[in-house]
Amino acid sequence: MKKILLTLLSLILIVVLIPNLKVSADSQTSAPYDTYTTGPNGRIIKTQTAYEPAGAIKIGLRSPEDLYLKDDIIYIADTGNKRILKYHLDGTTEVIVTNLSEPTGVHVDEEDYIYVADKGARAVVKFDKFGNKVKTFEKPTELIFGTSPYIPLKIVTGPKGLLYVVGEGSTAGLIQLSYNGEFQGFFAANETRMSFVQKVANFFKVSSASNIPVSPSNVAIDEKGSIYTVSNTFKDKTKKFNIASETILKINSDLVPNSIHINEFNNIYVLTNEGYINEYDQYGNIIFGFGGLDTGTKRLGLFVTPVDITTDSNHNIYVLDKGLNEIQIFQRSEFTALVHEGLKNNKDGIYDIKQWEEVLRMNSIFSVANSAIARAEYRNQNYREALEYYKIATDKVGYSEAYWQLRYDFMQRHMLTILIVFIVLYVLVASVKFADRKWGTFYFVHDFTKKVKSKRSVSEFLLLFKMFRHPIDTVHDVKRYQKSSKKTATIIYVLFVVVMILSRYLESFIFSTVNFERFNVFKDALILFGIVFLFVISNYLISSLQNGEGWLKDVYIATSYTLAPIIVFMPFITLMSHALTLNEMFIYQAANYITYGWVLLNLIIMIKEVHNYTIPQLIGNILLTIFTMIIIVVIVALIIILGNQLYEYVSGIIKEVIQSVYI
Amino acid sequence: MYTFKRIVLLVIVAATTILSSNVKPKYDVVTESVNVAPQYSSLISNRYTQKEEDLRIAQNDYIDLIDYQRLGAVNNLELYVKQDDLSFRVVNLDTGYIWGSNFNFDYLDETSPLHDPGDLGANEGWKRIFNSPASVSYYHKTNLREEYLYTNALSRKTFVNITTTNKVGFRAKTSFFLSKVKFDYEVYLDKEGLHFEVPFDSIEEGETFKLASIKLYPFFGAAKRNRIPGYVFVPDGMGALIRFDDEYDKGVYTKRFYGPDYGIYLKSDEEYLTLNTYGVVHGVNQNGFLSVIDSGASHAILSHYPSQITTDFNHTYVSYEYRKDYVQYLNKSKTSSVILVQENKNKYDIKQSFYFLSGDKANYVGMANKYKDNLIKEGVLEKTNHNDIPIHFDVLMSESKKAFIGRKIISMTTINELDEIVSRLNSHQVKNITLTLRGWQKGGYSLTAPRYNSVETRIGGQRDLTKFNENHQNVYLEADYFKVSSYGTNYHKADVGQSIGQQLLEENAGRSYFLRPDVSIKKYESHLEKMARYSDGIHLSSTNYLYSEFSSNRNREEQIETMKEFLSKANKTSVSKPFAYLLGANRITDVALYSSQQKRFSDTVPFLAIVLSGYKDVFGRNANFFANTTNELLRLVDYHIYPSFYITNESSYYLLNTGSENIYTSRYLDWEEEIKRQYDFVNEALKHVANERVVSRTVLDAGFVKVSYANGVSIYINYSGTIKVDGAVSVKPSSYQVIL
Repeated sequence: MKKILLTLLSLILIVVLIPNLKVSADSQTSAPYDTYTTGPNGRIIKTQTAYEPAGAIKIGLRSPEDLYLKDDIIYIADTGNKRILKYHLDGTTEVIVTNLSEPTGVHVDEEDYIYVADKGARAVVKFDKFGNKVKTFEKPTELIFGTSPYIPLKIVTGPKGLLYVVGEGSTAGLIQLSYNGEFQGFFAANETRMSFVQKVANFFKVSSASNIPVSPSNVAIDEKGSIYTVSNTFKDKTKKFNIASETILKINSDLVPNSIHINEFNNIYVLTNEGYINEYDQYGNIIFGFGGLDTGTKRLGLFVTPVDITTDSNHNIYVLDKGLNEIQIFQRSEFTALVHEGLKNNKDGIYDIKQWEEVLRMNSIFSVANSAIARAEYRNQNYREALEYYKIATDKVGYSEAYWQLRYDFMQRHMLTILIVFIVLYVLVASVKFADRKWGTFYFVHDFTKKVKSKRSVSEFLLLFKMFRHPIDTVHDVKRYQKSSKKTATIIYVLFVVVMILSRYLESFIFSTVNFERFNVFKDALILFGIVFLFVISNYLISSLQNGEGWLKDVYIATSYTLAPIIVFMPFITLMSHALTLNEMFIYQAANYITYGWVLLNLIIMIKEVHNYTIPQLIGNILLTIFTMIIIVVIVALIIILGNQLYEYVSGIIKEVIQSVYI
Repeated sequence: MYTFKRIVLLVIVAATTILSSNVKPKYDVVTESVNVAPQYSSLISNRYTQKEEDLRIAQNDYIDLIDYQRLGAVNNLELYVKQDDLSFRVVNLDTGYIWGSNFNFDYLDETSPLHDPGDLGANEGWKRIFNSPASVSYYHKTNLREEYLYTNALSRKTFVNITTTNKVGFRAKTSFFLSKVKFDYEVYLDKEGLHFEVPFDSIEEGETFKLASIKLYPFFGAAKRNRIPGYVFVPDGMGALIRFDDEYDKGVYTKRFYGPDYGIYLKSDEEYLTLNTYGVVHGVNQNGFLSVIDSGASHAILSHYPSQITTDFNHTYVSYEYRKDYVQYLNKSKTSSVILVQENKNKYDIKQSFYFLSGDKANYVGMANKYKDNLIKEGVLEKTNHNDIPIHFDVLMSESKKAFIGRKIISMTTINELDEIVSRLNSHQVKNITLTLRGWQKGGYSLTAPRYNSVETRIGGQRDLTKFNENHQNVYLEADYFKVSSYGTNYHKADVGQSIGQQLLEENAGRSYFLRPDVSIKKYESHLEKMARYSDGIHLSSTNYLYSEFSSNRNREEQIETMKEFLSKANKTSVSKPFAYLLGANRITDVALYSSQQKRFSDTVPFLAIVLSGYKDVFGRNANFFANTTNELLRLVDYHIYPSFYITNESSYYLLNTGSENIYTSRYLDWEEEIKRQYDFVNEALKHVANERVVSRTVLDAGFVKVSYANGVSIYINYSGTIKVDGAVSVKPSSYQVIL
């Protein structure tokens, strides 16, 4: 709740800019691009070059669109030359199929049959390994295929000879055909995205133009027959589907993916139109990201129009570039080999700490390595070590689990001691109280507290606690009996801001969503004070028009007391967060909601009592107050923007006049 | 009972907070990493030097001496000239090879044996362009136009013979009809070689047009398609070759010397042209020349046209820029702008020399050695005196990080810890150590530039630093007087330099600013005395940003003078990624190990390394960040470059969210064994040749190189994954062998 509040207001209020530091690096790479990986908090950090450019294959291609690598032979859909080429990695080239119309996709199955998606011929053609035509898959004639277009772009085959065809304009998804060409249904359709207007229209059942989903742009299949697609959708551009066409993995990225490849240990390689190659592990964590588009100087390792990606048995990457008419080779580096070794073991359920420690030696903040070691330590029941690595990897779920174990152990070991200690303490306290009641042993303490309580400043402050039991009385105390002062109210506001900020800062790692490096105390304080004063002023302004009885002073002071629940409970909630794990998250959330709800309730009571409103008046006042707050913010923002514009306009004219002297 | 529960909870909380705090990563294991040898396609790519396979005898049939008047000879060179069109020929008397400033058009006849199918040819207009000895480009308002001397019949020229006893040559006065530009130039031979000169004072302009640039004899050293085997050497990064191979889609190579000029909004993420030179070879180990731009390099642009782009000739030339157009923003949000042309010409004379090479010197190694000899003569280079090779460490001592309020200083390596590290290294027989201390100054590494007058107390303070310096040699304190963080507080906005359009000079979308050179030097002078107390050496950062600055009105040539002043003021200096004018520093770190790897390059060659080898301590990029360690180490051995590491005492984990967060591994204990291993690997090879110059470097096979030194020692380097054999020598995969 408070987070939402804060983020919302940080958008509205003027913020102090946060410096984003970056010192330009010393040369850390041997390639014309930097390589990135995931660091703590999901941040993208630099790392060693994962793949180095290793030359190019130039074999007279013309606008090629697709490639497929099997047994270290690359099959290339040489679209412009209307043919399929076979390139052996030892350097020999072989033309295998010619006289195609516009081959845009190529795939080779287990038995070395070659499938070609011929966009021009509107067909998928199957050839044997010598290039003899075996079968042509024409447009399905089944009724359920309907009027959907059949323009094959890409093709893969799965178990039992199933064909998955990416079709241009095939918005229902991939076209799934059986080995003999029967239409099996559409597969892996993308979801549509509704605009806000459409959602509203839907809600009121007003008919509006329905959305057509985006058709997938490329497809890949892994050993187990899971299908991966990439599409230029708004989000979740890369998806993995199980055999039932259910999405089981979604990867989000701002870049536009155009092809995808899965290697033997299920690492996912995605090539984007922006020339970036992203390598993900099987869970969709980004392992390496690198590459880029050429800026015109034709540098080795950069692309013009990259269209397809694959890897060979040595885990080198091959990228087909339609603009350069060549295949660029990227050789896997030693560092990447190390990471891959670990991932491969992880896939087989082996978590080798030594292996990942070597990766960490090369990059101390490599998230996947920290997570892997944490997981291994967790398995070995070294929860404390696991906790450390989870923390570096900022893996909150893992951290929470390890923490649960530690807490459990702690409880097991010390429960009895704790119990005994507390029983003793309880008995002690009880007996002291008893003694006090019976013989007044501690009369001096009572005298002292009485004395303190009778002090004006203290009593004003103690009204805070009265707010819990008798909120209405407290408001009356403030308004009618002048039992408090502006000074105390101000102190309470300061206390409120301090409590809010500290609770954010000191919250347990598991629940915290704050990025401390971006944490700006002054900004947060400004926002909190801003909200409070905005409310006080708006409420006063509205009430004075609405025959409210309260003066500005009354509103100011009374509002401060409504914050009592936050000031009193928040420290405990924050403290409590350190004892909880994600399993008990609801406790933490409930505590938060109750606190804020209470404050809200207090506010409403306060407004009603201070201004002595009836219920309808109260509702009107609350709505108008909120409205006024918004208006004030908008006006302030407008003034700032217009002021800026005016400044720019005037300074622009002056500059123009100065410059025109030269022109 | 409620109180009881609450107290129980409280105790648990307290206990667990204590347990979960104090998180610190720990790992000390070093295992031998796998070695991945580059595959064949990589070895024959432009990342490596290629084997010389075209061994044809170079013969330039497109030029001759018919109708040329002999002006005279100096040493082994002879100059001929044709007064009609100011073209000239240089004859190397040792070999008889003729170099010409233009070429004959006989080959246009399709029956001529000199004609090749697919020749682009030339019509009369083009012929006049190709024959022009000089051309200018000029601005008409903001449009850039080009005029060749002979494209307009009304252009004028004169010829004066200026031959004296030691000098053979001529002076020409040119007057361009359209652009109304006039200038004089001289072409002459002396005992060094051939020279071009254009005095700045001789340049005159008309009223309407503004001179943009001048180029002279663009076809000097041109070679037709692949009629002549050979290559062009360009000082791109470490150095690169463009071989003459008649491929049609290579495109024009152009690049400014010494990197882009931030003062006129130029940027580049490629390697820069590090040296003021280029070279042409006609027939490897037969004929070649090295051209050096003695004056005007910082405003000069190197261009290479492969054949089949407008002409049939591969040609390379330098154009000298006097003005540039730029965008003048009229408001802060940069939505409104006009294009303007630089008001005043950049003031500099043009001086370019050509040194002719023949025989086994006619290659990039010979060029590098010629360049080296020039630097030795100038006193820039001096033979080093090492038994074991030196090793360099960048040490990060302190950084600053955002805290709850303000910033906190984190100590990464204290002076005492560093002392301990150095003695541990010594005990591992790593003794010839040189250090760069970063973040020694108050406030830590980032955000503090340009203030370097007190020591950060968290790393030990002044007395410790002074003492450390007394006990150790070759300690350099890092200081940056040119580039500052825009969030820094130790300078005023008025100290920041201005671009030609009165914008602040900035990089990284305004994250850093460049200071005015006059401010830089003043600050530097005020700190020098104190810094000298802490250490003899100063490592100057950001010296490789060469920018014109328009609030103090300094062009790049003048900025070079400022940089040289920086070098001369301190006792000992060190620079990173050096340009030619910085080679006078005592130590050079982080030298580029690659070229820009443009596809038109056929090879990467260690030109810069050969220039400096044995005569300057040159260190490569930090080995922490190597992805293929063995391969990079072999490169160090091949290029004669010494190893370097980035170290801290604490884990680099603490650098996250600081200005140094690009350092993702640096903890000394993690690297100790690797440092020793890598140092030994390189030292075992280079210690035999530490103070020697390279005399030849031959590629015997893809990824198999032989480097020979002046003392007779040869080192074979095998980058490939297979055993390579040369006579009796066989070298294991990914390994080297020293032949004493």
